[in-house]
Amino acid sequence: MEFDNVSKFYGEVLGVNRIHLAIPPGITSLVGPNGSGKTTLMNLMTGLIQPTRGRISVLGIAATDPERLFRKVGYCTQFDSYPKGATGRAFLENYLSLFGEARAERRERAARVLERVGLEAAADRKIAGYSKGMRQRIRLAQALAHDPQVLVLDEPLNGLDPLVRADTIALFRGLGAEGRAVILSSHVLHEVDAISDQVIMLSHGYVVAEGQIHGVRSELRDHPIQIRLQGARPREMAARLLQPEPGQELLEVLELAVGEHQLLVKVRDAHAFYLALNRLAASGAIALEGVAPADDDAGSVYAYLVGAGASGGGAQ
Amino acid sequence: MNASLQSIAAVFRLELRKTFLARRGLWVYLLALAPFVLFLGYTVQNKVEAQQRQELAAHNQKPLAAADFAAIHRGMTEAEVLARLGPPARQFRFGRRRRAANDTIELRLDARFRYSDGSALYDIFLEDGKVMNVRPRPGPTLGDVNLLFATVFQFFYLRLAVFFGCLGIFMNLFRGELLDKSLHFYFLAPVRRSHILAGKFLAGLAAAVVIFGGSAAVQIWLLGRQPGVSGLGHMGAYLGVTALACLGYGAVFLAAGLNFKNPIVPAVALLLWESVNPFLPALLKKISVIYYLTQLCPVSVASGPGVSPLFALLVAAPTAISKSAALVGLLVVAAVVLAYSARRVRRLEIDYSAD
Amino acid sequence: MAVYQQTYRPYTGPLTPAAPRFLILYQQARRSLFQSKLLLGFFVVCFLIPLLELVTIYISHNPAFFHLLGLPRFIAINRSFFFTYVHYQCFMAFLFTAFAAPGLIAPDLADGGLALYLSRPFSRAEYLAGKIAVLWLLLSALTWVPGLILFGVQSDMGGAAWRQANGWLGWSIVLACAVWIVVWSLLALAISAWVKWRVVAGAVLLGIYFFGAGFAQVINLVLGTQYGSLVDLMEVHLIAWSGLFRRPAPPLGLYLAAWAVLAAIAAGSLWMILKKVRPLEVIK
Repeated sequence: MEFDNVSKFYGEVLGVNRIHLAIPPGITSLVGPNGSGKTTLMNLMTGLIQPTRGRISVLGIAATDPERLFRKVGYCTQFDSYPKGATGRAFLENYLSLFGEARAERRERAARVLERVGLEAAADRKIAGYSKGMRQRIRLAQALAHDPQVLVLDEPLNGLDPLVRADTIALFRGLGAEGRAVILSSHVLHEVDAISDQVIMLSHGYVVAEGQIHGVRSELRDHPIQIRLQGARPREMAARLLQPEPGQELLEVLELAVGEHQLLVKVRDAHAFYLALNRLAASGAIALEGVAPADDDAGSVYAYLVGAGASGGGAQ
Repeated sequence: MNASLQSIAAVFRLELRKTFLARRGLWVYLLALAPFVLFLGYTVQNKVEAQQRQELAAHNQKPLAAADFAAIHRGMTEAEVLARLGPPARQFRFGRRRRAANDTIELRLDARFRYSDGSALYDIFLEDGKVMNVRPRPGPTLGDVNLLFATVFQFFYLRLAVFFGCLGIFMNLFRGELLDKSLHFYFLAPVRRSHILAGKFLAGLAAAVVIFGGSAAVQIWLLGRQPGVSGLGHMGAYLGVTALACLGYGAVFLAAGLNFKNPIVPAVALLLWESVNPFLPALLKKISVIYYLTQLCPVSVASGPGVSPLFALLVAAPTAISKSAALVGLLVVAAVVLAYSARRVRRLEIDYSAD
Repeated sequence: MAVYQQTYRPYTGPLTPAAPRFLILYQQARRSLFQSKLLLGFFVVCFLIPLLELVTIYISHNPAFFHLLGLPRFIAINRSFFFTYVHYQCFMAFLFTAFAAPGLIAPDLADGGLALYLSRPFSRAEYLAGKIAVLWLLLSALTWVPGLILFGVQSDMGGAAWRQANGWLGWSIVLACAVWIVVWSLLALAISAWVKWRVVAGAVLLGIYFFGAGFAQVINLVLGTQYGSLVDLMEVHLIAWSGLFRRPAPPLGLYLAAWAVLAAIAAGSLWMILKKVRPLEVIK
């Protein structure tokens, strides 16, 4: 999926601006608070709105060519409305009829996808009587029904209870593993870490970062990094770090937080810190049980990139 | 069937059921039903009067003919009338309010005598014992019924019933989906937008033609069953004009539903535009649906008796053109509007927030 | 002690008087109506007729004007003049109602806003009073208020003799317009409450007016009666107003039937509104 210098304005209001993107297969998350341009970007890639400037293509198909595009793309929108009086099954079968499929094929596909999203028991009930989570799943079923190569999912985990949420995440992983491109949006950042192969971070209509989450974090060289050190005696470990033995160099530690069985260290030069830490551990000065970066998750990276204020209430 | 036709047919099938059974569009059936109910009343009235003509004629003390009633004139006294015609078979006496010169309301005693000569009823109205008016009421002839239907068809059925019916059906096709926030389901399917438009339009057209064409057919059938009338002609022509009216108004209202958030504005504008059509310059006349429809109607209302000059002006097109030119003109107007709608729908963006 | 008892402090400051609180809805609805430039523009256009009538009154009392044009003084300011004014101005007010009224209750019902209003210390009666006030005040400004101004100007220019002969016309203008405002505003709100979609509600109002007028004509034509006029709401008003403006009297039966139709529409509309505007909604 390619965005070539794409901008979208709603009158004088900016939707997204100067977007250059190439989204590869796998699971890609669009991350950003409400109003950052996630839905606009999704609507643009599915041709529901047209860019003010620039070009968009999906698998080489222009977004303005629905006849070819939607044979390859499925879009689960956030619009929570359905044709009046439709049951879940009829809704999907009617939708599939627009693909020119024969009745038997439609029935079979609808049944299969209803089972996949766990709605087979409620398939013949009217959608108007569905719970919020069921409505979310029927939307998901609609996006999946024609077995698309690219799936665009706008906040697909909204309204799902924890069990269904876990199943749905597993479903996304499965779809990604099959080689499909799954593009989903979320403002729940810790979820993004669990799902995504790569992220696209948006703020106020601009892409502020894209790529694998750890890669993005490592690009932020000028921002202090937090490291979690695990060990039985964290206070002693802190003392050693701040007051090295004679002959050992002093580490530039910006912040220290002592927890139960762990120590959080914030440093500017992670590379130098890891080298020094190795030497301390090798000399037996500290009893180290584990080391891990503490802030290369999507939430931290997003906060670093756009600032806590910019992330607003949406980013969690 | 090729892929384009297949996708149009798929949209058509989905829309047809929705259009016929939409709760929001139930009032369209009432519009179509209204003239049928009216003509049903007319039929009952005619049957009752036909029976009355025979019954009242049997009450006459002497045989009466049209010439006897022609001799009754304004100003004759009640006694003179009774001497000439004998006692009426039926008479009604009633008070009538009249505003006097000094602004007070005075009650006058009036009377109505009803006679029959077997072929017509005669109502003689008397005021203060003097004849004011004689109104013959013969049974309807084929010509009368033809003219009556043509008048109702042109003045009421096309201009109001079909107009508002098409407004209800065709504006709902896109604007209704935007109100229900469900248009994106079509826009997320592998169907060209112009095919969605075509499928929806054809479904609306089919529904409108069945509802209004069906109603017109039943009305014509009913009027052909009046006493003394054996079948009303021009059924095919009227059904054709009804279908063309649905096509023309349908195209216009579909475009209005696509372009206006509040289609009431164009609806009022179009209603006024179509109403003032007879008074427009020749060129502007042609940019309307009613202009072509009135040309295609099989019976000219203006030529009928008892039609007021203003009414005749409203229902007849003064600059007549041939029927084939009218047909082509209407099809061109519809095609231009539909082509514009197809262009508009290709660029239509989903924005439910404003509705 | 519960936590909320330690920290919670209810508002104890002064409250606005309860009686005029429904006017909050009026102000809000009026603001929202006039956000539409089209509607605002149309509201202004509606004053063209009173303006023209004002000019007519002025000209009619200006002999020099007729003398200059060499015309006889053909304009008479009498009951017909004010009857015509009320007729045309009420038609303009109808168009304004068709645009404005559907947006008053329909969106509240469609979006579940009614529950929000009625879950505050705000009664159903206050809600309805607020909504009806919008129409009554704006339609008054369009109909009888300029009508009374015209009447006042004519009374002044026409002199004592005209005032003595036509003084009753002021009441007629107010009463005729008041009847019109009550009937149409209740009907419009009832349709707004039942149809829910403001666009469709507007179309239904237009249909009632124009389709009714046409259907009345064909009923009269086909069945040879005058009672078909009872399905033409404007005609029904004209028949009812004939008494108020002391015009040629229609048949007594038709006159009484016209008033009965107006009363039935007002009562039926009120019933429909009360049936729909409720603090609960059964969702099937």
